[in-house]
Amino acid sequence: MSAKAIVCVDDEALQLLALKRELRLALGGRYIIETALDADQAISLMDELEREGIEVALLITDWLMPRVKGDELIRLARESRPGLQAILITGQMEDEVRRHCAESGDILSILDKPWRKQELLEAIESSEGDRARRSP
Amino acid sequence: MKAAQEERAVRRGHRSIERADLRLAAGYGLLVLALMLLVIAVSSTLFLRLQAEEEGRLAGAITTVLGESIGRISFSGKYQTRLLVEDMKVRVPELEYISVETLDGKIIAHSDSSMDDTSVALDRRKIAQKCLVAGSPVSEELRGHKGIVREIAAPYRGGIDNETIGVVRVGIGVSQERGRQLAGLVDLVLLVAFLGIFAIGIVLYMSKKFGGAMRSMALQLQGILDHSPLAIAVEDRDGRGKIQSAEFTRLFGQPGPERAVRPMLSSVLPSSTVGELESMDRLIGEGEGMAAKAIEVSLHGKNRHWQVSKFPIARDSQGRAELVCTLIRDDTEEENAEEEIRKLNAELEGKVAARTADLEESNRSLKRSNQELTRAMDELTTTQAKLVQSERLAALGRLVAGLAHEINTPLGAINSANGSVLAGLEDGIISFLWTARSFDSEEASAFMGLLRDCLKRAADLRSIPDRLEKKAVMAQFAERGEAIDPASADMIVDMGLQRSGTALPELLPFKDRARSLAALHEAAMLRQGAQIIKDACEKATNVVRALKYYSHREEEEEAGELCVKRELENLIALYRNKLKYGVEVVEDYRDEGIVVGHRDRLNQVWMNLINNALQAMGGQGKLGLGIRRSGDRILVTISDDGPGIPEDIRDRIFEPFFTTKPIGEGTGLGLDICRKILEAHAADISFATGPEGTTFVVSLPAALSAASEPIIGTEGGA
Repeated sequence: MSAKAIVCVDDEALQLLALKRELRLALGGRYIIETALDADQAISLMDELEREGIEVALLITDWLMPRVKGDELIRLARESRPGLQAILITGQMEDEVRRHCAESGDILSILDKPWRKQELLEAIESSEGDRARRSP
Repeated sequence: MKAAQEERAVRRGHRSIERADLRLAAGYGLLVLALMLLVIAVSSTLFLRLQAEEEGRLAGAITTVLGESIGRISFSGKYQTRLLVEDMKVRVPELEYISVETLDGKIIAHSDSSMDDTSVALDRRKIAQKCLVAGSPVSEELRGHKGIVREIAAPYRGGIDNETIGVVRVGIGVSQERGRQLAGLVDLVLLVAFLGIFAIGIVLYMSKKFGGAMRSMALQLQGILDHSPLAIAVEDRDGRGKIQSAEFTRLFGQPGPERAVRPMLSSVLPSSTVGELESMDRLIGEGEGMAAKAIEVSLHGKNRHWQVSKFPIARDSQGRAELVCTLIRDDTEEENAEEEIRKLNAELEGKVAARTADLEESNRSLKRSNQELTRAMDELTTTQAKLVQSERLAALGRLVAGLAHEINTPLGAINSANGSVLAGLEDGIISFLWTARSFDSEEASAFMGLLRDCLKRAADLRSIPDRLEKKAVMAQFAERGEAIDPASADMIVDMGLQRSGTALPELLPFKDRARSLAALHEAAMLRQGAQIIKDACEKATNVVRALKYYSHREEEEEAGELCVKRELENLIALYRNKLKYGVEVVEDYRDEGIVVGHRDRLNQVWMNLINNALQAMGGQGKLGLGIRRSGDRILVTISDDGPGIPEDIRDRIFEPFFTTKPIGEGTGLGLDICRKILEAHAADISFATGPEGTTFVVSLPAALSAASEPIIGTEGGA
């Protein structure tokens, strides 16, 4: 079984550190938790991980970021990895985008800040189930 | 065209007057001439006859004397007679001839001796007979080859009985006399002719000079007739036209001495009209001073309305009109216009009535709609108030949406960090203590040193560990032939131990390196969690404070002296994590910027302006910060090299709730708040913008105690 990684993206360092700690505590044994401050970093990080033979299992990203927003990042990441699961965490999101994301079904879950740990973990678990179903 | 015609008519008029003048003068002149010639003829005839009689009488007397003489000498014989005759002829040169004849016409003696003893020519015997019958001399003029000769025949007596025995015939030449008389006569005729011509000139001159008034009157009359719109005609008793206006001629043609006016009218006008005119003539004939009538005429297929008047110009001694003037005025247009006016007036009354009714109606409807408008106005006012209210609510909604993000983000971090801290306290602290208990003294002192170091570093949240760093750490251990698990490598990078400057294996002199690292990490993460909570709380507090400031509920804090330079440096330190990628900060502090004010509020201004600048450059570019002094003002400049503020929104950027940012990125209150804060500090804000970027300049009053010297060089390295 190859190593799996969860990539967290947020332009707010504070946020990113908190998320990373939380996930590491809860899932540290099962996933490598990696962080990126923006979309460019996130893409190059995922490429890097894959070169090292680590599978990117999940992308957890903030929506409101400078330049490239969360939904756009998910779309970019999926260009080279079509099956990538993604979770959006957002403090505030334009209603239009939220509706569009929800309707497209591309995104596993949209979580509002402040997120509840339980909610997040459930979303991550559902991604595991989903992935298991897709690759029997 | 018409003017030319009139012009010709006028000239024609003038010519006719001149012709009249000329005829007058010629008439007078010829009359004078004729009279003079008559006088001359009569007087010269009388004169000539008198002279001839005189001549005859004298010649008779001479002839008688001559006859007596001849009678006396006739006894002396033919010869003696003939001598006398010859002698007489020689002595009296006027005598053309002398002839002594017998009763039966035999010439006894003749001044021309060749004629002696011949018979008198038959045609010349008559005069001898005449004088014999009369017994006295008879005179007669003869025209012969020698000119005019007056021949006188007288009987002469002789013998004892003194009987008439013959006739003495004497011829006296009068050619010369006659010639003189004729010359005188010719002179006289010439004189008379000259006088006649002179008389003509005089008359012409007189008529010109003294006929001026007449002439002027004639011209005036002619002018009037030529241009009058009236048809005017003057006719004499027999109905012959004398003068007429151009209009009359136009209507009926040119009358004249031979053309009576009446038939002309009859040829043009319908008989009923002519009858009416005749009845008017009768009225005039009966002695009326004036007859007038309005008649309808159909002329050239058109109905005309005429006012016809007739009046006598002159009457004779019996009171009959000698000259009658007819005036015709065509008032069809006037009549039509009047008719039109009457019609219009009638219509106007109707219209006015209708319009008045309309006006009353529209007045009523105006009143109605006025009431409706008033009602609508009231409704609008209410709606407007509602709109203002809902606009406020919308603004509030936007504000809340923005604030939600600003508060939710730190709340998420707090919540997440707090979860980690709780977990750390529950499990980590125990394992930490267990690990600590197992250390020997050497390990313990190394651990204490590292712990202090890690705790300190954990308080600095600006560094986010990088995957490359982790790889470098693992490489470092591999070089030494030591293995390290990725989890331990993660911990090292999380704590930033690789940046301590000491080689990692030496830095971690623990028997159980993994466990020791985990213990250190536990402590560091607790510290970091606490720091995250602290920073996030501060952020949330700032947001709430901004809101409070906006709602003017913040309690007044004490204003004090502060150094803008220090505040900007602190802010830049806080922004480091945002500035990490691609933003170059260019600081140009030429003054400490000592001002009096509220630190937090001014910091809000700098933060806002820096935020805007970063947003304008899209996270990449040059952020310029500057302080300089200008007189007693401190100028703080914050600039970016972004694309500039679009021209159409430059005037609006200070409006409350005006934002170009998507929801969540700004409330639209930033610059409005900035301005309010600066106004409270007697400061003002301005900006310059263009394609090279935007520079905001804040001008604050310098604190009175502040040194005015520039500080370049003293703290240039700051």
